[in-house]
Amino acid sequence: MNINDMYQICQYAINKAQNGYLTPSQFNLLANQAQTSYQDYLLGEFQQYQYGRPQARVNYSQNSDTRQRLTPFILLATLDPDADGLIDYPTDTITKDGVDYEVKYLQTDSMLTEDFDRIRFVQQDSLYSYLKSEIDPIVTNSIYLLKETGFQFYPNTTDNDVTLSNIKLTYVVSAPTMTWAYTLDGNGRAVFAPTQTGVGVTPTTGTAEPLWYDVDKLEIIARILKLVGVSLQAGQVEQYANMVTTQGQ
Amino acid sequence: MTRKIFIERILRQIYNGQPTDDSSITFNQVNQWLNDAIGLAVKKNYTDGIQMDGIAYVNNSFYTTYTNLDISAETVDNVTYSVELPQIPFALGKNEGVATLQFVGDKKTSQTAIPLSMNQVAYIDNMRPIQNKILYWIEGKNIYAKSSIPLTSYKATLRMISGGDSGDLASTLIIPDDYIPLIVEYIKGQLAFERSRPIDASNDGVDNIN
Repeated sequence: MNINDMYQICQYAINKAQNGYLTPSQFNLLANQAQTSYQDYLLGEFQQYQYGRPQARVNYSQNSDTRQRLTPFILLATLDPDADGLIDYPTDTITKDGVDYEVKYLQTDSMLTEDFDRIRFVQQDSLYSYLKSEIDPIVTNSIYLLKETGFQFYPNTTDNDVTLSNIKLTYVVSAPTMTWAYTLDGNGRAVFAPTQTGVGVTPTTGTAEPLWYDVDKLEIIARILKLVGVSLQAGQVEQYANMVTTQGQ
Repeated sequence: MTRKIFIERILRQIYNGQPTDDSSITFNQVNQWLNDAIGLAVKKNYTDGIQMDGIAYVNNSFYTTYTNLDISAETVDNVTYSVELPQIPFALGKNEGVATLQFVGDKKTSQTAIPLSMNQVAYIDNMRPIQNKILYWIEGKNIYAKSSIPLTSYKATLRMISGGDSGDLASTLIIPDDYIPLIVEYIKGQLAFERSRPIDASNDGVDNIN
Protein backbone atom coordinates (compact mmCIF):
# COMPACT_ATOMS: atom_id res chain seq x y z
CA MET A 1 0.00 0.00 0.00
CA ASN A 2 1.46 3.36 -0.97
CA ILE A 3 0.42 6.84 0.02
CA ASN A 4 -1.91 7.08 -2.96
CA ASP A 5 -3.84 4.06 -1.71
CA MET A 6 -4.10 5.70 1.68
CA TYR A 7 -5.44 8.91 0.16
CA GLN A 8 -7.95 7.04 -1.97
CA ILE A 9 -9.17 5.01 0.97
CA CYS A 10 -9.74 8.19 2.90
CA GLN A 11 -11.51 9.79 -0.04
CA TYR A 12 -13.61 6.72 -0.55
CA ALA A 13 -14.70 6.54 3.06
CA ILE A 14 -15.44 10.24 3.27
CA ASN A 15 -17.32 10.33 -0.01
CA LYS A 16 -19.28 7.25 0.88
CA ALA A 17 -20.38 8.89 4.09
CA GLN A 18 -21.15 12.01 2.08
CA ASN A 19 -18.86 14.10 4.23
CA GLY A 20 -17.38 16.21 1.46
CA TYR A 21 -13.97 16.25 -0.17
CA LEU A 22 -10.54 15.85 1.39
CA THR A 23 -8.06 18.03 -0.48
CA PRO A 24 -4.45 16.86 -0.93
CA SER A 25 -3.13 19.53 1.41
CA GLN A 26 -5.70 18.56 4.05
CA PHE A 27 -4.75 14.92 3.62
CA ASN A 28 -1.06 15.70 4.02
CA LEU A 29 -1.78 17.73 7.12
CA LEU A 30 -3.99 15.10 8.71
CA ALA A 31 -1.86 12.12 7.68
CA ASN A 32 1.19 13.50 9.45
CA GLN A 33 -0.84 14.40 12.49
CA ALA A 34 -2.27 10.89 12.48
CA GLN A 35 1.10 9.16 12.20
CA THR A 36 2.51 11.27 15.01
CA SER A 37 -0.47 10.35 17.13
CA TYR A 38 -0.02 6.68 16.29
CA GLN A 39 3.69 6.74 17.04
CA ASP A 40 3.00 8.37 20.37
CA TYR A 41 0.51 5.64 21.10
CA LEU A 42 3.09 2.94 20.32
CA LEU A 43 5.79 4.61 22.38
CA GLY A 44 3.49 4.76 25.37
CA GLU A 45 1.42 7.84 25.99
CA PHE A 46 2.41 9.18 29.36
CA GLN A 47 -1.13 10.14 30.32
CA GLN A 48 -1.74 6.40 30.61
CA TYR A 49 0.78 6.06 33.40
CA GLN A 50 -0.59 5.29 36.83
CA TYR A 51 0.93 5.72 40.26
CA GLY A 52 2.41 2.48 41.48
CA ARG A 53 2.19 0.94 38.04
CA PRO A 54 4.49 3.13 36.05
CA GLN A 55 3.97 1.74 32.59
CA ALA A 56 1.68 2.72 29.80
CA ARG A 57 -1.06 0.37 28.67
CA VAL A 58 0.78 0.18 25.37
CA ASN A 59 4.52 0.70 25.55
CA TYR A 60 6.94 0.06 22.74
CA SER A 61 9.47 -1.90 24.72
CA GLN A 62 6.92 -4.08 26.46
CA ASN A 63 6.11 -6.57 23.79
CA SER A 64 7.46 -7.72 20.52
CA ASP A 65 4.36 -6.83 18.54
CA THR A 66 4.39 -3.16 19.47
CA ARG A 67 8.12 -3.06 19.00
CA GLN A 68 7.88 -4.77 15.64
CA ARG A 69 5.62 -2.01 14.37
CA LEU A 70 8.25 0.56 15.30
CA THR A 71 11.22 -1.27 13.82
CA PRO A 72 11.31 0.88 10.63
CA PHE A 73 12.12 3.75 12.99
CA ILE A 74 14.65 2.09 15.30
CA LEU A 75 18.22 2.98 14.36
CA LEU A 76 21.69 2.41 15.74
CA ALA A 77 24.22 5.15 16.39
CA THR A 78 27.70 5.28 17.87
CA LEU A 79 28.32 8.22 20.18
CA ASP A 80 31.59 9.81 21.22
CA PRO A 81 30.81 12.48 23.81
CA ASP A 82 33.07 15.48 24.25
CA ALA A 83 35.26 16.10 27.30
CA ASP A 84 32.26 17.37 29.29
CA GLY A 85 30.26 14.27 28.42
CA LEU A 86 27.95 16.11 26.06
CA ILE A 87 26.81 15.07 22.63
CA ASP A 88 23.91 16.17 20.45
CA TYR A 89 21.02 13.88 19.69
CA PRO A 90 21.77 11.90 16.56
CA THR A 91 20.26 12.45 13.14
CA ASP A 92 20.30 9.94 10.35
CA THR A 93 18.85 9.06 6.99
CA ILE A 94 16.57 6.14 6.19
CA THR A 95 16.73 4.99 2.59
CA LYS A 96 13.71 3.21 1.14
CA ASP A 97 13.16 2.42 -2.51
CA GLY A 98 16.10 4.62 -3.41
CA VAL A 99 14.70 7.66 -1.60
CA ASP A 100 16.45 9.20 1.40
CA TYR A 101 14.37 10.35 4.36
CA GLU A 102 15.98 12.59 6.97
CA VAL A 103 15.03 11.47 10.45
CA LYS A 104 15.53 12.90 13.93
CA TYR A 105 16.05 11.35 17.35
CA LEU A 106 12.85 10.85 19.29
CA GLN A 107 13.48 8.44 22.16
CA THR A 108 16.28 6.25 23.48
CA ASP A 109 15.86 2.52 23.13
CA SER A 110 19.04 1.28 24.79
CA MET A 111 22.41 2.72 25.64
CA LEU A 112 25.45 0.48 26.13
CA THR A 113 29.17 0.98 26.37
CA GLU A 114 31.44 -0.59 23.78
CA ASP A 115 31.88 -3.51 26.20
CA PHE A 116 28.11 -3.92 26.48
CA ASP A 117 27.91 -2.52 29.97
CA ARG A 118 24.74 -0.56 30.43
CA ILE A 119 24.52 3.21 30.63
CA ARG A 120 21.54 4.10 32.72
CA PHE A 121 19.19 7.04 32.42
CA VAL A 122 18.73 8.73 35.78
CA GLN A 123 16.33 11.29 37.11
CA GLN A 124 17.83 14.72 37.51
CA ASP A 125 17.05 14.76 41.23
CA SER A 126 18.93 11.50 41.76
CA LEU A 127 22.04 12.85 40.12
CA TYR A 128 23.85 13.77 43.33
CA SER A 129 23.37 10.24 44.64
CA TYR A 130 25.07 8.75 41.61
CA LEU A 131 27.87 11.28 41.61
CA LYS A 132 28.60 10.69 45.30
CA SER A 133 28.09 6.94 45.39
CA GLU A 134 30.76 4.84 47.08
CA ILE A 135 29.16 1.51 46.23
CA ASP A 136 28.63 2.15 42.55
CA PRO A 137 30.67 5.16 41.68
CA ILE A 138 29.75 6.41 38.26
CA VAL A 139 33.07 5.29 36.81
CA THR A 140 31.76 1.75 37.04
CA ASN A 141 28.12 2.62 36.64
CA SER A 142 27.77 5.01 33.73
CA ILE A 143 24.72 7.23 33.58
CA TYR A 144 23.19 9.77 31.25
CA LEU A 145 20.82 12.68 31.49
CA LEU A 146 18.66 14.19 28.80
CA LYS A 147 19.38 17.80 27.93
CA GLU A 148 17.72 20.17 25.51
CA THR A 149 19.90 19.35 22.55
CA GLY A 150 21.57 16.10 23.52
CA PHE A 151 22.82 13.65 26.12
CA GLN A 152 24.94 14.39 29.17
CA PHE A 153 27.12 11.46 30.21
CA TYR A 154 28.85 10.66 33.47
CA PRO A 155 31.64 9.76 33.90
CA ASN A 156 33.35 12.21 31.58
CA THR A 157 36.85 13.48 31.06
CA THR A 158 36.39 16.83 32.78
CA ASP A 159 34.70 15.66 35.98
CA ASN A 160 36.04 12.15 36.43
CA ASP A 161 39.01 11.81 34.12
CA VAL A 162 37.28 8.87 32.48
CA THR A 163 36.38 9.04 28.81
CA LEU A 164 33.39 7.21 27.41
CA SER A 165 33.57 6.48 23.71
CA ASN A 166 31.96 4.24 21.11
CA ILE A 167 28.70 4.27 23.02
CA LYS A 168 26.15 2.07 21.31
CA LEU A 169 22.81 3.80 21.14
CA THR A 170 19.68 2.33 19.65
CA TYR A 171 16.96 4.91 19.35
CA VAL A 172 13.57 5.58 17.90
CA VAL A 173 13.28 8.35 15.34
CA SER A 174 10.29 10.47 14.46
CA ALA A 175 8.41 9.12 11.49
CA PRO A 176 9.40 11.37 8.57
CA THR A 177 6.78 13.58 7.00
CA MET A 178 4.67 11.81 4.39
CA THR A 179 3.45 13.76 1.39
CA TRP A 180 0.94 13.02 -1.36
CA ALA A 181 2.28 15.11 -4.24
CA TYR A 182 0.28 15.84 -7.36
CA THR A 183 0.23 17.49 -10.72
CA LEU A 184 -2.81 19.14 -12.28
CA ASP A 185 -4.38 17.59 -15.34
CA GLY A 186 -6.08 19.53 -18.15
CA ASN A 187 -9.23 19.93 -16.09
CA GLY A 188 -7.38 21.24 -13.06
CA ARG A 189 -7.79 18.01 -11.15
CA ALA A 190 -5.04 16.72 -8.89
CA VAL A 191 -3.28 13.63 -10.25
CA PHE A 192 -0.96 11.60 -8.06
CA ALA A 193 2.74 12.23 -8.85
CA PRO A 194 4.60 9.24 -7.41
CA THR A 195 8.10 10.14 -8.60
CA GLN A 196 7.96 13.58 -10.14
CA THR A 197 9.47 16.65 -8.49
CA GLY A 198 10.07 20.29 -9.39
CA VAL A 199 7.96 22.86 -11.15
CA GLY A 200 4.41 21.73 -11.78
CA VAL A 201 4.38 19.35 -8.86
CA THR A 202 2.73 20.31 -5.59
CA PRO A 203 4.69 20.32 -3.36
CA THR A 204 7.80 20.62 -5.52
CA THR A 205 9.71 18.18 -3.33
CA GLY A 206 7.46 15.40 -4.59
CA THR A 207 5.89 12.42 -2.91
CA ALA A 208 7.25 11.09 0.37
CA GLU A 209 5.98 7.62 1.21
CA PRO A 210 5.17 6.58 4.75
CA LEU A 211 7.74 4.12 6.11
CA TRP A 212 5.27 2.16 8.19
CA TYR A 213 4.25 -1.43 7.62
CA ASP A 214 0.93 -1.85 5.80
CA VAL A 215 -0.97 -2.86 8.93
CA ASP A 216 0.15 0.33 10.58
CA LYS A 217 -0.85 2.41 7.58
CA LEU A 218 -4.37 1.19 8.22
CA GLU A 219 -4.11 2.41 11.79
CA ILE A 220 -3.01 5.77 10.47
CA ILE A 221 -5.90 5.86 8.00
CA ALA A 222 -8.30 5.20 10.84
CA ARG A 223 -6.80 8.13 12.73
CA ILE A 224 -7.06 10.40 9.68
CA LEU A 225 -10.70 9.51 9.34
CA LYS A 226 -11.28 10.12 13.02
CA LEU A 227 -9.78 13.58 12.60
CA VAL A 228 -12.08 14.15 9.64
CA GLY A 229 -15.00 12.88 11.63
CA VAL A 230 -15.57 9.51 10.06
CA SER A 231 -15.43 6.71 12.55
CA LEU A 232 -14.43 3.37 11.12
CA GLN A 233 -13.19 0.12 12.53
CA ALA A 234 -9.83 -1.09 11.27
CA GLY A 235 -11.49 -4.13 9.74
CA GLN A 236 -13.69 -2.00 7.53
CA VAL A 237 -10.74 0.11 6.51
CA GLU A 238 -8.86 -3.03 5.65
CA GLN A 239 -11.71 -4.10 3.36
CA TYR A 240 -11.64 -0.74 1.67
CA ALA A 241 -7.89 -0.98 1.32
CA ASN A 242 -8.02 -4.40 -0.28
CA MET A 243 -10.76 -3.31 -2.60
CA VAL A 244 -8.93 -0.18 -3.69
CA THR A 245 -5.64 -2.00 -4.08
CA THR A 246 -7.01 -4.84 -6.18
CA GLN A 247 -9.85 -3.20 -8.08
CA GLY A 248 -9.20 0.50 -7.98
CA GLN A 249 -11.61 3.03 -6.59
CA MET B 1 30.92 -20.53 41.76
CA THR B 2 32.20 -17.01 41.24
CA ARG B 3 30.73 -14.02 43.01
CA LYS B 4 29.39 -12.73 39.74
CA ILE B 5 27.49 -15.92 38.99
CA PHE B 6 25.99 -15.87 42.46
CA ILE B 7 25.02 -12.22 42.07
CA GLU B 8 23.45 -12.93 38.68
CA ARG B 9 21.36 -15.67 40.27
CA ILE B 10 20.11 -13.25 42.88
CA LEU B 11 19.33 -10.53 40.34
CA ARG B 12 17.40 -12.97 38.15
CA GLN B 13 15.21 -13.83 41.10
CA ILE B 14 14.71 -10.27 42.26
CA TYR B 15 13.84 -9.06 38.77
CA ASN B 16 11.99 -12.19 37.64
CA GLY B 17 14.38 -12.78 34.77
CA GLN B 18 17.04 -10.71 33.15
CA PRO B 19 17.33 -7.29 34.78
CA THR B 20 16.56 -4.43 32.44
CA ASP B 21 18.93 -1.64 31.51
CA ASP B 22 17.24 0.65 34.02
CA SER B 23 17.23 -1.78 36.94
CA SER B 24 18.56 -0.05 40.02
CA ILE B 25 20.14 -2.96 41.91
CA THR B 26 23.67 -3.35 40.62
CA PHE B 27 26.31 -6.07 40.87
CA ASN B 28 28.40 -4.03 43.27
CA GLN B 29 25.43 -3.41 45.50
CA VAL B 30 24.58 -7.11 45.80
CA ASN B 31 28.26 -7.75 46.43
CA GLN B 32 28.07 -5.46 49.46
CA TRP B 33 25.16 -7.45 50.88
CA LEU B 34 27.03 -10.64 50.11
CA ASN B 35 29.76 -9.74 52.60
CA ASP B 36 27.16 -9.49 55.38
CA ALA B 37 25.55 -12.72 54.29
CA ILE B 38 28.84 -14.59 54.43
CA GLY B 39 29.18 -13.49 58.04
CA LEU B 40 25.72 -14.83 58.73
CA ALA B 41 26.57 -18.18 57.18
CA VAL B 42 29.81 -18.48 59.12
CA LYS B 43 28.06 -17.70 62.38
CA LYS B 44 25.38 -20.25 61.58
CA ASN B 45 28.06 -22.85 60.94
CA TYR B 46 29.65 -21.98 64.28
CA THR B 47 26.40 -22.37 66.19
CA ASP B 48 25.50 -25.50 64.20
CA GLY B 49 28.74 -27.02 65.45
CA ILE B 50 27.81 -26.28 69.05
CA GLN B 51 24.28 -27.57 68.64
CA MET B 52 25.11 -30.76 66.77
CA ASP B 53 28.58 -31.68 68.02
CA GLY B 54 28.78 -29.76 71.28
CA ILE B 55 32.00 -28.15 70.07
CA ALA B 56 32.37 -24.64 68.76
CA TYR B 57 34.19 -24.58 65.46
CA VAL B 58 33.94 -23.31 61.94
CA ASN B 59 34.28 -25.81 59.14
CA ASN B 60 37.51 -25.77 57.14
CA SER B 61 35.58 -24.98 53.95
CA PHE B 62 35.17 -21.38 55.10
CA TYR B 63 38.90 -20.71 55.39
CA THR B 64 41.08 -18.92 52.89
CA THR B 65 44.85 -18.51 52.85
CA TYR B 66 46.22 -15.05 52.21
CA THR B 67 49.88 -14.70 51.33
CA ASN B 68 52.41 -11.98 50.75
CA LEU B 69 50.90 -9.48 53.20
CA ASP B 70 53.13 -6.58 54.14
CA ILE B 71 54.45 -6.22 57.67
CA SER B 72 54.95 -2.86 59.36
CA ALA B 73 56.98 -2.04 62.44
CA GLU B 74 54.98 -0.36 65.21
CA THR B 75 56.44 2.66 66.93
CA VAL B 76 55.34 1.72 70.46
CA ASP B 77 58.41 -0.47 70.99
CA ASN B 78 60.97 -2.51 69.08
CA VAL B 79 59.19 -5.85 69.20
CA THR B 80 55.68 -5.14 67.91
CA TYR B 81 54.74 -5.49 64.26
CA SER B 82 51.44 -5.20 62.44
CA VAL B 83 49.80 -6.71 59.40
CA GLU B 84 46.73 -5.21 57.77
CA LEU B 85 44.15 -7.89 57.08
CA PRO B 86 42.02 -8.09 53.94
CA GLN B 87 38.93 -7.71 56.11
CA ILE B 88 37.96 -7.53 59.77
CA PRO B 89 37.97 -11.14 60.99
CA PHE B 90 34.62 -12.63 61.96
CA ALA B 91 33.85 -12.36 65.67
CA LEU B 92 33.84 -16.05 66.50
CA GLY B 93 35.07 -17.29 69.84
CA LYS B 94 37.87 -15.15 71.15
CA ASN B 95 39.97 -15.06 68.03
CA GLU B 96 38.87 -17.80 65.68
CA GLY B 97 38.56 -15.44 62.75
CA VAL B 98 42.23 -16.01 62.00
CA ALA B 99 43.44 -19.59 62.38
CA THR B 100 47.13 -19.49 61.54
CA LEU B 101 49.80 -16.88 61.00
CA GLN B 102 53.28 -17.46 59.60
CA PHE B 103 56.07 -15.32 58.28
CA VAL B 104 57.77 -16.06 55.01
CA GLY B 105 61.02 -14.77 53.59
CA ASP B 106 64.33 -15.84 52.18
CA LYS B 107 62.71 -19.14 51.06
CA LYS B 108 61.92 -20.02 54.65
CA THR B 109 58.70 -20.15 56.57
CA SER B 110 58.43 -19.54 60.29
CA GLN B 111 56.59 -21.77 62.69
CA THR B 112 53.02 -20.72 63.20
CA ALA B 113 52.68 -17.82 65.57
CA ILE B 114 50.79 -18.23 68.83
CA PRO B 115 47.41 -16.52 69.11
CA LEU B 116 46.47 -14.46 72.12
CA SER B 117 43.13 -13.28 73.36
CA MET B 118 42.92 -9.65 74.40
CA ASN B 119 43.33 -10.42 78.09
CA GLN B 120 46.38 -12.53 77.38
CA VAL B 121 47.98 -9.57 75.63
CA ALA B 122 48.06 -7.82 78.99
CA TYR B 123 49.65 -10.87 80.67
CA ILE B 124 52.30 -11.18 77.98
CA ASP B 125 53.24 -7.54 78.38
CA ASN B 126 54.19 -8.34 81.97
CA MET B 127 56.20 -11.45 81.18
CA ARG B 128 59.62 -12.07 79.79
CA PRO B 129 59.75 -12.64 76.05
CA ILE B 130 59.50 -16.29 75.03
CA GLN B 131 62.52 -17.32 73.02
CA ASN B 132 61.96 -18.03 69.32
CA LYS B 133 58.21 -17.66 69.57
CA ILE B 134 56.07 -15.11 67.81
CA LEU B 135 52.86 -14.11 69.53
CA TYR B 136 49.98 -12.31 67.86
CA TRP B 137 46.57 -10.93 68.52
CA ILE B 138 43.81 -9.62 66.32
CA GLU B 139 42.60 -6.08 66.79
CA GLY B 140 40.08 -4.72 64.32
CA LYS B 141 41.41 -4.99 60.82
CA ASN B 142 45.00 -5.58 62.01
CA ILE B 143 47.07 -8.35 63.43
CA TYR B 144 49.75 -7.33 65.88
CA ALA B 145 52.72 -9.63 66.41
CA LYS B 146 55.36 -9.54 69.10
CA SER B 147 58.73 -10.87 68.05
CA SER B 148 62.32 -10.30 69.06
CA ILE B 149 63.29 -11.01 65.44
CA PRO B 150 62.80 -8.04 63.11
CA LEU B 151 59.92 -8.99 60.83
CA THR B 152 59.68 -6.12 58.35
CA SER B 153 61.76 -7.89 55.72
CA TYR B 154 59.31 -10.80 55.69
CA LYS B 155 55.82 -11.28 54.37
CA ALA B 156 52.89 -12.66 56.31
CA THR B 157 50.88 -15.73 55.36
CA LEU B 158 47.66 -16.41 57.21
CA ARG B 159 44.52 -18.49 57.14
CA MET B 160 41.32 -16.76 58.02
CA ILE B 161 37.60 -17.20 57.59
CA SER B 162 36.64 -15.25 54.51
CA GLY B 163 34.29 -15.46 51.60
CA GLY B 164 37.16 -14.83 49.23
CA ASP B 165 38.19 -11.66 47.49
CA SER B 166 35.25 -9.30 47.88
CA GLY B 167 36.81 -6.80 45.50
CA ASP B 168 36.95 -9.18 42.56
CA LEU B 169 33.63 -10.37 41.21
CA ALA B 170 35.39 -13.00 39.10
CA SER B 171 36.88 -14.64 42.20
CA THR B 172 35.48 -17.81 43.68
CA LEU B 173 32.91 -17.39 46.40
CA ILE B 174 34.37 -19.46 49.23
CA ILE B 175 31.21 -20.72 50.83
CA PRO B 176 30.28 -24.42 50.88
CA ASP B 177 27.11 -25.19 48.95
CA ASP B 178 25.18 -26.27 52.05
CA TYR B 179 25.29 -22.69 53.33
CA ILE B 180 24.44 -21.01 50.03
CA PRO B 181 20.66 -21.24 50.65
CA LEU B 182 21.10 -19.29 53.88
CA ILE B 183 22.94 -16.55 52.02
CA VAL B 184 20.35 -16.49 49.27
CA GLU B 185 17.50 -16.03 51.73
CA TYR B 186 19.27 -13.23 53.56
CA ILE B 187 20.13 -11.26 50.44
CA LYS B 188 16.74 -11.83 48.88
CA GLY B 189 15.14 -10.42 52.02
CA GLN B 190 17.24 -7.27 51.94
CA LEU B 191 16.80 -6.64 48.24
CA ALA B 192 13.09 -7.46 48.25
CA PHE B 193 12.70 -4.92 51.04
CA GLU B 194 14.49 -2.34 48.93
CA ARG B 195 12.35 -3.14 45.92
CA SER B 196 9.15 -2.85 47.94
CA ARG B 197 9.84 0.65 49.20
CA PRO B 198 8.00 3.47 47.42
CA ILE B 199 10.06 5.56 45.07
CA ASP B 200 10.01 9.32 45.26
CA ALA B 201 9.37 9.86 41.57
CA SER B 202 8.30 13.48 41.84
CA ASN B 203 10.93 16.19 41.65
CA ASP B 204 9.08 18.53 44.01
CA GLY B 205 11.62 19.25 46.74
CA VAL B 206 9.62 17.24 49.28
CA ASP B 207 10.82 13.91 50.61
CA ASN B 208 8.51 10.98 50.16
CA ILE B 209 6.82 10.40 53.52
CA ASN B 210 5.85 6.79 52.83
